[in-house]
Amino acid sequence: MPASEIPWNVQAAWPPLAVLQLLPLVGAGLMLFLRRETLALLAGIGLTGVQLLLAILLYLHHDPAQPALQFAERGTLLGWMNYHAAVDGVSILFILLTAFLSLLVAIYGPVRGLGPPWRLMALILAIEASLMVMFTTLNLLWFILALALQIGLVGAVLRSWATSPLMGPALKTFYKFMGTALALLLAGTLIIGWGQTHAQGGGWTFDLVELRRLGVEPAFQTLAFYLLFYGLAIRTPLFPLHGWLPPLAEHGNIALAPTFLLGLKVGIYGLLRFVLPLVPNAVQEWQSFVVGFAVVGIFYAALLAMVQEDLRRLLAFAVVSHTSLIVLGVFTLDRLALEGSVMLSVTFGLALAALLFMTGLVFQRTGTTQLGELGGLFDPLPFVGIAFLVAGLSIIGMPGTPGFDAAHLVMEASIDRFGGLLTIAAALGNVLAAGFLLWAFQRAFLGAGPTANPALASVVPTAARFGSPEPLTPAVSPPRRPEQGHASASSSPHAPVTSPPLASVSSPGPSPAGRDGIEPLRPAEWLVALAVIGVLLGVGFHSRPWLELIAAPLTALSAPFAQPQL
Amino acid sequence: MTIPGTLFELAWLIPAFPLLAAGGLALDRALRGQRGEAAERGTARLALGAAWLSFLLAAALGLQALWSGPPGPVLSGTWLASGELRVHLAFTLDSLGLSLLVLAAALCLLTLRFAVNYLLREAGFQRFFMVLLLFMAAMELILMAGNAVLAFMGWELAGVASYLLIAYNFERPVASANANRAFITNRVGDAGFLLGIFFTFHWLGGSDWQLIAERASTLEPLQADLMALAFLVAALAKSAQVPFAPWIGRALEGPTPSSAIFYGALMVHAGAYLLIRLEPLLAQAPAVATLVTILGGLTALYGWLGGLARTDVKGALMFSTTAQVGLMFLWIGLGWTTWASWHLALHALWRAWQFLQAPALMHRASRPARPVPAWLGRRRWLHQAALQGFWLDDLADGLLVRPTRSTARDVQDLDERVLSRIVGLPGDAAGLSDLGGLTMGEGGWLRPSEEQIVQGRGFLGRGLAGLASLLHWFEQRLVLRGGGEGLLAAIQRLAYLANQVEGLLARPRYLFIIILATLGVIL
Repeated sequence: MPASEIPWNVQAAWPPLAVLQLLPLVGAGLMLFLRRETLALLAGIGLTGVQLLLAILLYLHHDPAQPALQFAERGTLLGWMNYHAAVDGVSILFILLTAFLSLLVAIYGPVRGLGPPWRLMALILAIEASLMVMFTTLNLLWFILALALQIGLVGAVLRSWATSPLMGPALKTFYKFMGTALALLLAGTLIIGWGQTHAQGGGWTFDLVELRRLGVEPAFQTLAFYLLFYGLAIRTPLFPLHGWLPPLAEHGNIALAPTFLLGLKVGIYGLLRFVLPLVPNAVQEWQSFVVGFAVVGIFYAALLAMVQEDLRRLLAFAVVSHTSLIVLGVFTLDRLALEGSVMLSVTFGLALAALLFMTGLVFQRTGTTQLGELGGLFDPLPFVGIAFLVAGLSIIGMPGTPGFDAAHLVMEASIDRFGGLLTIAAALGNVLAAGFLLWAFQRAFLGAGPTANPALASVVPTAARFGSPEPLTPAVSPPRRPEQGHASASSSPHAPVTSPPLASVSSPGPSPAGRDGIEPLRPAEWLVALAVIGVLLGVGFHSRPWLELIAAPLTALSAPFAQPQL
Repeated sequence: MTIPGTLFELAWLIPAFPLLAAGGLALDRALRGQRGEAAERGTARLALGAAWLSFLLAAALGLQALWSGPPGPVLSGTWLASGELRVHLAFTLDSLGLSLLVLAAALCLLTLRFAVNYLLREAGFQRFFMVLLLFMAAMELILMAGNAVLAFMGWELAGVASYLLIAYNFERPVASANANRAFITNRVGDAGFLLGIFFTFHWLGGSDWQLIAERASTLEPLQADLMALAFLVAALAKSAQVPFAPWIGRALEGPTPSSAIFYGALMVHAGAYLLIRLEPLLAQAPAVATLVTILGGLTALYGWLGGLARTDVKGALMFSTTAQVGLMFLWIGLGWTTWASWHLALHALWRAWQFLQAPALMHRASRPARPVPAWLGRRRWLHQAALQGFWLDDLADGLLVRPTRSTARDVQDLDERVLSRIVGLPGDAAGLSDLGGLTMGEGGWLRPSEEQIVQGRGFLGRGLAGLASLLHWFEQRLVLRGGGEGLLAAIQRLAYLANQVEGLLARPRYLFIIILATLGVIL
């Protein structure tokens, strides 16, 4: 991490970071007064669009060759709450992704009929503001407070637009887990700050630059690392602290909250920005421990993803699995691996957003995300299927998508540091990911649909059908169709509770004769699907500018961990 | 052990008398079958005799100290020696310790005498006396101990005695449940005590009070804060301060003498006594001292309001006790430890008398009970909060007691379903059929393929046919049997296990267990 930073007035006429953080906040406040539907929609989409333009401007003015932090802004509040924001290449990449995904969500939300529009836009803008704060701040306490704000807002989003009556317990578990995560993060922050106070005899500080200059005492590094890492690990989520995610995915929003919660890897960013620079000794000491858990997590989550019945739960486990891969890359502590991890974060964010949007569109038309009930959707919705497939392939790491470059970098560095065996194990996890994603695509889009001949069900193995483990979230099956067939009867080990989903479809559902009742894509939905696929493929085919963007800061970040060349 | 030169070297006998008497009562019951009414006199005699001896020895030491000055630390031997670690059998017989020791011995003696009549012809007479003698030994050990480890021994024994006596009428489910809750809450404090002892050994090289007093100034501020915080948690839990306050209200299920001695007079002050002993450490940790003051003040407020809203005698007494101990914490936080010690001693005396009077209060009352004061009655929300004990009880229930019980049930499930099967025992009635299923096995042995794919003629032909058979068997076994067997079956079996694990990971209490386990590993 470079010790120097360049103030904003050197490179720009107005402070871009402050605007990036304040604009969505002001916009969110504005939304509370704009109750007219069209006005609110236009304002929301307009503001998120402006944010994206600002982010692009920031990227264009940023100098990738310069390793120092750029566009630095400082402001004095209380000593320990000082405002200090700056960006480097990694932050800019995440800021771009945030702005882009926020815009897409702002378009997708009204399409899915999530209203009222002023509330939707207000929440989206507020969450975007908190994310911008997280990605630009250099003050550890600000980061955690913004994280707490984001969790509160996401909770509000989940409660407002839940898709299942079992949202309540899942949300409570979410709050308990996140409460613990925030408590751990605060404790870790306080320990780091406290140590400094006594070391220097001065006031408290949580500023990254100050803390790096003073250094954290080695005796407390392990404790601080443990607290910060566990807090971020619960949020990210990582195995084995991921228990809150599958129930939430199953019963919450399909795309709205999960995109913000999981698509933008705040936990990984926190690791790179704060944990690795502040407690390098502890990171080095516990490297093998974390890597071991990451590898187990890859397999565990992939295994569970293979046997899920609900597409949303499957995606939740997919998130856990590929996030473990990213953490494996981060804790390889090698420059190539760090670059690969950042690229993987961006790729997975985009791909996950695409998968979630497509799932949302499917849910809107069929009223279900149970894989046993889906099928045969490729004919009526070909583009949705293609988008789903491309997104799935980028998660697997297909050449042509950014996932390929990124995964390649991580594997290469991993072989260097850990040898072949561990890398092969991680790669096998990737193979499992291919398995479950392609299988999910097949069952959701290809296949003959739920009204098929039960005898054909043997083509897709029916022996392993697992709903969520009881008793927190018993499997809720959607309204029964006239021909139930073999697939649904064995769909869960528990008696299915028949209850209509909350956000029901406007049309009365597909007719028994086939997928006739499915309406084709509307223009806004085309836009969303095209945009995300376009960006994925674009970044994939032209990955060099992005790698150059993050090369300089990550070289500096990985320098303390460099092993002497043999 | 050397021949005792002065009387002070016999100090170890003070807790030893009641302990031996408790053991004697236990042996009496076990070997000679002494129980019931017939054995009451013998039990009472043994117990009172031991208590008298203990008290007389303590009084003698006190008089000796008045005459020639208190000796301070007295070493009776080394209990534990491992490498550089030393735990001595050391007793602190300074003015604070000795005076409180005499007071404690006297109060225990009086309570035992009271109990002889109070528990006349009660079931479990011997059990009561055994446990009360155990408590007497434990309390004297806490007051006399010269280092934290010995004090912890007494601390734990007192906790166990308290648990056993709350559940004196263990047939009543309320009593057992309350005993469990009190014990679980106290365990949190014990964990803090252990952490504190660990810190002293790690940073100061020993846990003697004298050592801590001498070397406290060499600690770094963060270390002093952490150490003081650990001991503070222990003190808060034992003395039922906010936030651990509610357990003591539930502890009054036991007989009155034990309530008096435990929660009125002696054990409830143990936390305050610990903090008084650690005064040099608190002086180095001003942040923690401030916390002590704040919590003490809050507890006093809590106790006062709660006591005003109560209409039953025992409840009102309990809240009043909590408030007084809160005030003691307040004095300690402000650094006025002498004032706090006097408060402690006088309060112990007064409260013991008050509690022992309580059963007879109904007969002595000449006026009706005082109603809830008007200003409290007017403020409904405050009155409600005071009646509910500021919901601390429910908080403790949700955070501590229920997760512990659920975890205990889960562990029992694990034991029945998994471990018993592994060992070979049938876990429950349904397990027998599974055992049969297990022993039958699920194949897995090589079976020669029955089918002939090719017919070979001649040596070469038959060799090739054999090779083809082998390859066919391999292919069929591992690859072609995709539907339900082979690789997919393995995945499904593994996934079933993983699903069980996933069910557990979604519970917050397992999150806490993982976090605490890692904390244990790294520390």
